[in-house]
Amino acid sequence: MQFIINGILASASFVLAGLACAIIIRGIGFFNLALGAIFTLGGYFVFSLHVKLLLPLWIAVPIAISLCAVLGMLFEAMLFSPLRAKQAGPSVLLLVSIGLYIILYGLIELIYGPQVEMIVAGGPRSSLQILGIRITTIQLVTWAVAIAACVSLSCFLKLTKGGVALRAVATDSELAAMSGIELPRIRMYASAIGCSLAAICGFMIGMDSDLSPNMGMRILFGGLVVAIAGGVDSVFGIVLAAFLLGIAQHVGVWKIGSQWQDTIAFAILLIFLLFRPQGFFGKNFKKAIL
Amino acid sequence: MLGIKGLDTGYGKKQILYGIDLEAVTGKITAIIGPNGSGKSTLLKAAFGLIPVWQGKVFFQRADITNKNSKFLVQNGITFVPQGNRVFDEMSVLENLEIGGLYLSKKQFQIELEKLWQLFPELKKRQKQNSGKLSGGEKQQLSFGRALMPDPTLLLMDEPSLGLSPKLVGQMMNHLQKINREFGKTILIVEQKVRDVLEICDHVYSIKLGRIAYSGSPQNLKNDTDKLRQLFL
Repeated sequence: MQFIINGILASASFVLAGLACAIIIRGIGFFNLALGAIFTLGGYFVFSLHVKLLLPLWIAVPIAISLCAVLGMLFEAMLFSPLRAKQAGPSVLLLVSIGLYIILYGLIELIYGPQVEMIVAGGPRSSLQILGIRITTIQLVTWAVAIAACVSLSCFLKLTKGGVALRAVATDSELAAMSGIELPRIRMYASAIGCSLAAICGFMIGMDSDLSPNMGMRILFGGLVVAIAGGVDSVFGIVLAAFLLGIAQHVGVWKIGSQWQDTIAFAILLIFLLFRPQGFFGKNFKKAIL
Repeated sequence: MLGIKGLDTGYGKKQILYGIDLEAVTGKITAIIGPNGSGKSTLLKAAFGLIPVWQGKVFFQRADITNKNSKFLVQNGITFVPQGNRVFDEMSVLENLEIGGLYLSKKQFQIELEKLWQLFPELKKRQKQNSGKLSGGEKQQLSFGRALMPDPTLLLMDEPSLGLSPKLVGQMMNHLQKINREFGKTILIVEQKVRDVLEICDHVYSIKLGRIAYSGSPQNLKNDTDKLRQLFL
């Protein structure tokens, strides 16, 4: 039972990662792998500001999220948008994003070193016992943040002009341009939102466990699995897929060992791509442009 | 209203249009006809800033709008209806219209919406429906509706009849006349259904191999079948 509950609790970070991936894939039209480095940077920025500069968390976290959002906007404005203007297709942009990830990963390792760092000092985390099941405070906070992210994103996409424009670009970018929507601006906003969510996710994971320069790629692939299994344009589907991945991985740890966690995630990815590419509720991922 | 002077453009290094001169007069329907691949749609896209103008100028109400982006043009009274009943098919009818009226205030949006419901009452009934599930004719109406929402003075239309049945083409031409006469919109339309568009337009241009091959009254072309055939050979 504890494994299943742990799986459900762990799925909060998968929700955040899945939302970040979905908004990036749909909003900018390709899967920007540099998002992997943003997950890592979200955690390390808080580490620098809170642990090294001794700023309180309530100041450090918004600054870290803002820095990641600015990075996302810069990627779009200075790299991907000029490449699109030179007729670069999604596959070229994907390759460029791999290069960008490698550069950022190298810089993170150069600045922070390869060793593991912690935002919260080691030792036992504060926790609650409910019906004999141990739940840490940070797990509850992560769920609260994930729910807030789902509600805010849904409201933004449905109720605001910017959200409607973003959905229009995600549905048919050429038609959106013909309707007077500025594609570069909307893509910049999408990148900023995706990177903000990634920063929140990286920070929450850093609070729960620890930070390492390569942590982002693993989170990114978890997010990708959730985004595809949930359907890249369905917030509810993403939550459901996060439950599926979280529970499957934790039951897998219990039954066959922790070294199989990534294999389980990719097995779920393959099953969905083969048999239900539209995910639980969303759009066919093949049409959503990888 | 819209003037195009000596326009050259193309895709990549391939030139498609050579020194195009054209005028769309206020309150009139101006048609552009010509064989497939002659550059008709390219001309509209260049006028609307969707592809760069290499040489020449585009004027709207005497202001130079050459290579201005689509947001600027929409905000200044020009909208574009693309080929083939294109709608945002994962979004509702109302959301499609919201995209058309993205730069309007809430009050102005409601005013434009009411005008549109009067023109296309079917769309009002289906405003919450997913637009991907509309019929071909309804999608056409929605495509027009989205372009009408910002209350433009000039509509650029790129083969709106594409993919419509002959009956629906007739209905669409009626809508065009209504938009022109009752709503006072100037229309510049690229159309392959030559006989139909000649019935409703006030002036016609024909493009052949990227150059203007004819400019004049539609009546003359309707009466001169040989000339018409020659323009399409």
